[in-house]
Amino acid sequence: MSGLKLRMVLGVTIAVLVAGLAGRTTPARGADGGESGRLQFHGYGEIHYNNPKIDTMSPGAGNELDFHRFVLGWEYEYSDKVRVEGEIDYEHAARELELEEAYIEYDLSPTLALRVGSLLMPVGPLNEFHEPPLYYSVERPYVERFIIPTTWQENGAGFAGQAWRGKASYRAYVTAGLDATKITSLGGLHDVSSKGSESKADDLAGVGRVEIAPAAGLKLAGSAYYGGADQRTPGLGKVTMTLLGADARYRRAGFDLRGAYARVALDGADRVSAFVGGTVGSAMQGFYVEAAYDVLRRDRTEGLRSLVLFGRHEDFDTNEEIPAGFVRDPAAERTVSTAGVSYYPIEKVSFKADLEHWKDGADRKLNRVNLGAAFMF
Amino acid sequence: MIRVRLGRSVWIGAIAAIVSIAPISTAGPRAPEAPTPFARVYLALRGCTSCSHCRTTIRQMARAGSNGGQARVSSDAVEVRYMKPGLVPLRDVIGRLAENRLHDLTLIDVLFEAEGTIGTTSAGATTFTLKGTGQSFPLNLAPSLPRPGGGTPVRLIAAVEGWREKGGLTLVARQVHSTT
Repeated sequence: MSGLKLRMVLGVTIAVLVAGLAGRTTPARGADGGESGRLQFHGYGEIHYNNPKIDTMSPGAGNELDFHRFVLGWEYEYSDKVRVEGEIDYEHAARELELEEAYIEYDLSPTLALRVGSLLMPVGPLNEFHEPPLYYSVERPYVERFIIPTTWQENGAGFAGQAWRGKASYRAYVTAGLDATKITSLGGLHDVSSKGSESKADDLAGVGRVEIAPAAGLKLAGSAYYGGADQRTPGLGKVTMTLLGADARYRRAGFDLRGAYARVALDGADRVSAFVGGTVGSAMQGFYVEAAYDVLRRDRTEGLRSLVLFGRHEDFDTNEEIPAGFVRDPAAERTVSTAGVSYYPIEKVSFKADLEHWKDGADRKLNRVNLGAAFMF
Repeated sequence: MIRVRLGRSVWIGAIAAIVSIAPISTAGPRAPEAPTPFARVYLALRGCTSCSHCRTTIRQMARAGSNGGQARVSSDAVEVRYMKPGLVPLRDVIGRLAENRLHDLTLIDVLFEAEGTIGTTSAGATTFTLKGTGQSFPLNLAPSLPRPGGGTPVRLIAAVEGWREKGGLTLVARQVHSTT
């Protein structure tokens, strides 16, 4: 980022913070008789030490200490029913600036809201709720990196609501479609999102997610995405992408068990592969299962501290199926086993340590040590 | 060099902030202050309240059972406010949040503030009756607190007890203010 751009970002950020504090002290009467003009801030961040750095299968690739994410967000309420949400991600110590989300939310009823703007896609358990203290590992699950491109945001509009006395919730959006030419053999969907920046909208997509909680401690969810993905790229032809996912979580007596599965089907993968000059999977899929236990039993003691031991196994393949005439990359098939500990002195701050064991279809293996500290507010 | 750039950024931010709040502090009449709501329910929360999606979830939970109340979510509480006299479905408001299973959220404590009168039943029990509705709650009123009788309007701030169990709710008075 240029120095001028960085200074502008800093200036605007400081202006928003100061104006927000001023605004907090001067609530005005809204059209509905209540207060309006309320501004609230939130944010999160995390610093990582990776030995060796991520995105490599080479033990000698070097280590990395990265202030991976620092996100500032705010919510401005015009009235009881209308608000604007926004988040800016200063990724890798502000080397990358990203509009994480920004949308208008208008309550159509007490349990149904219209959203318009740059939206976090309701796919998978983590994409919308991705604050780092919410997961125990230093890095996010890799299935939600290569198969579900967390953090995935697109420009669009749709609805967010609840039903069944709050035991079910749903989101359904129409958004700009993906650009399939950004899919890579090993990276899968990791870099396909437009991030809301001049999104190609020749193809649109529909996406939705339903979560239900049929019993105490149990949450089940399903996500679906379907859309055009060629964006009328000359010479590519029609390409569509379908993503289906399911996830579950069960928490009881200090235990936290969760799992997720996602499968991507790319119709037209042969043409995409020919266009990009490499194999792009016609199907990509992955899953993970995770078990965790809070030794300090925050749920029972009503204290603030937690000490969570966890283990997770992931299995994913970005070349699960490939188009005829193209060569499978054995390195696309990967398993990652992670074991670690996460200590929470308070519930919104965590210190993490874990060990990852990677293995791919080319019979390469790698062990990685990760240390991290994370917060949200 | 970095210090110079940062310093400029701070000044740019400060000036922009002053400009943005100037109309409030110097020009024209101040916006009218918000009226005191007829009733408020404060629900102290622990858990994930940070991001916009969390707050929407919590806001929808609170509003769904509130019978028209406005919900304001902050980092550690949600406040349901009623601007005009009306029935306050206290059990439902609390229950939606206390029994929620979808979100990583724990309800810690509940405070209730409302206008009404303090009375005594024929059985000798103390009650608090909401202004203009006839809706009443059992009230535990410590001897050290004022006990205005005879239908004197008061503003009561009370802890709500009994929401963790099935059955009726009881208000435990913390403050009683005469509104006459």
